[in-house]
Amino acid sequence: MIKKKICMLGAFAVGKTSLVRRFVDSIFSERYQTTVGVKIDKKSMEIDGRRIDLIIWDLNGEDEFQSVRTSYLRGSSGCIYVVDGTRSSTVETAGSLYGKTTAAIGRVPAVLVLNKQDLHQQWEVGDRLLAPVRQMADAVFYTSARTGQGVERAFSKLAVMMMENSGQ
Amino acid sequence: MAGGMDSNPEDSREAFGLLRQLLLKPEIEKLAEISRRLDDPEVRAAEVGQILAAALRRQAAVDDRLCLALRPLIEKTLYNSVRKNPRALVDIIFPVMGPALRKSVSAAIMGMIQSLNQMANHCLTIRGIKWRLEAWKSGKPFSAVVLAHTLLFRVEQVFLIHAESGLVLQHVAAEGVSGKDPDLVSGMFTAIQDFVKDALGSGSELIDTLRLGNQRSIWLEQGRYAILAAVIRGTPPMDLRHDIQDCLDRIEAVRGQALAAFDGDTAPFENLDAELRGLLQFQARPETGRRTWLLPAAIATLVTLAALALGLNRYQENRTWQRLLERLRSQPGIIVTRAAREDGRYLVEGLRDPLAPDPESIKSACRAAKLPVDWRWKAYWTMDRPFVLKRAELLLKPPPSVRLLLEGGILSARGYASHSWIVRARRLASVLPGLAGYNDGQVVDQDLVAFQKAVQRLESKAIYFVKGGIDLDPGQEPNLDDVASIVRTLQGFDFPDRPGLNIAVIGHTDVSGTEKFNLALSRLRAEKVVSLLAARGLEAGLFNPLGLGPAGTGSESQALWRSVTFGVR
Repeated sequence: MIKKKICMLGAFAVGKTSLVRRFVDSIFSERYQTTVGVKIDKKSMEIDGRRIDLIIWDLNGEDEFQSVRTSYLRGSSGCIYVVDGTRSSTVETAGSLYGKTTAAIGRVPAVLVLNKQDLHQQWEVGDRLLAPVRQMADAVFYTSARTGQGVERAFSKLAVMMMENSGQ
Repeated sequence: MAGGMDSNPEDSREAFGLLRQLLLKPEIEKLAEISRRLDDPEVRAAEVGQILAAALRRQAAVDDRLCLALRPLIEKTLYNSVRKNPRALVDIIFPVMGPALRKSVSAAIMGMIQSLNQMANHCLTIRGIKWRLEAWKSGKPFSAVVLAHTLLFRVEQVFLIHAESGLVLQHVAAEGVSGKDPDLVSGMFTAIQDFVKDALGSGSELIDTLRLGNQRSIWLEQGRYAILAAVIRGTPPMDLRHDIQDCLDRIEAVRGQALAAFDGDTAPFENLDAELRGLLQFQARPETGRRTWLLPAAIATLVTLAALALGLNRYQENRTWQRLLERLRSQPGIIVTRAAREDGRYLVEGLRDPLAPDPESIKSACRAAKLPVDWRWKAYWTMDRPFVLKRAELLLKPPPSVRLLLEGGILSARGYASHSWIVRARRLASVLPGLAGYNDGQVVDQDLVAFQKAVQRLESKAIYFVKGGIDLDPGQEPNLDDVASIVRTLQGFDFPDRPGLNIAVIGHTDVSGTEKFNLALSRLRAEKVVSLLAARGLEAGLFNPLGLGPAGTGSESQALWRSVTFGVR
């Protein structure tokens, strides 16, 4: 069986936790994020007939009050960066998190998720703003935690990239 | 050619040598060179030295024969070396042994502290007090009792975790244990480790124990690549810690490369299942869950109730027993000398007057009929007044016309009785115990009275004769019959304490005639009556005929004239 640890990173309240809530097996309360700084969920999927378990470390949102513990990033095979499409500042946070992660564990397959697609009217994040962060991700997805749009595809893409990366 | 060689052997040997030189010169030179190298130890040593390492390596890769061959040599060398200079070996192994010893010693001290802590924890709890009582009763040291109770544990789950990613490489759980998703649990272990390390800045040191309440703990051992985590219920011994360490060491030794290269594929670790299951130990009784107290509690309750019932029963039985003893002790005619409870039965020993009431009836009377009592009585005669009287009544058997009384130790009889009873009673009373004397002065001897009445009747009788002769007056026959009848009556009395019956038959005359004649006549008349009575079937020997002569002249005496009267002695 293949197991991969992935980290979900993003600014505070970008909807990381909501994004996975409908798709994962979870036994821990969301309180852990505010206490220990991480909550661990699991998502099983099948890629080319092989089962892969994604162990998702849903790290606490980065803001001026709390920052991501880089020790949690160790051993990660991939990352999902989440940006709130209605708040341009979250793009910047994603960029800084990317820098931090790469410094800590090196370059790993990464997916950029532009969340809150359902709030398109309030959309702030334009192509120009996104250009630098598009560079860091291997794929970009528009998602909505509310409708579930794009979430599966984002995880699948990351899984495939991680498998390719390790030659599995 | 064969013929040629025969003709000149010398020539042909030379020719053959020449031919050999021509044909094999390089080989011959090479052989000479080889021979020189083989003969020269210096050269050979240098050459073997060049290939020795490669040869050893190659042979070691093929099989174990080289190892087996070298082992005795190396052992012997080491042995000699240590004997010669132990210091050298100490220097060699210290870097390896030092940390190992430190780790071992610190683990032992930790173990000791742990048991001391347990002892301290249990000192003041109710359980602790119970255990103290147990120690006191059994004579064991308190620490031994604490250990006996606390060294019950069960390893419920074992996780082999990839240290860097926190991913589960292998997970085993004990029978009946259903844990949460091991991947998530393991991830959280790792996260918490990281969190604590970051928070305390403890560098590479690992949390080795997580405790959940009193009953659950997680023991963690970190190796170079992997973490072994054991979820334990109860309090395990420190030996378990060593087992976990050893297990992890073995895994890292065998799977070090796979662990270093781990990239999410857990397949290489799947067959570690048996190795990890070795850690699913338990000691004494596995804890079966929260309800385990139900059965012991139920048993304890039953035992308590039974004990209470038994106690109540014993209490009641004891009270009955005491009541019975009191009754027995207050009973005249019974003296209890020993009362005891032996082998579940009761025993009463003592003296009992045969006239005292039956002890079994006393037992029933004080509601102790069910009490199992064995009696051991010895007979005795009590001097109590009612007993003496009753005993006298039983022995003397007085007729209904006689009443017995006991006053001041003297037994008195009153009433009417036969002569034989009076005589017998007098004899028996003299031997009756508890009597100061016997008085039957107020018992009327009915036989004697009747006898005396008959005597009176006989003595009032007179048989009359004709004047001057020994012939009976006419009509005296019935009178004589009466006399015979009375004599027969008298004969019917038997007074053993009195002389035999003897009846005086006394003849009388009137005053006429001479004295001498009258005496003879009166005697003849008496003899005549005796012979007449004998003729009526009476024994002549009973009678004593006497002649008294003339009976005087007074009016009473005149009635006796010419008669025969009777007297009884």
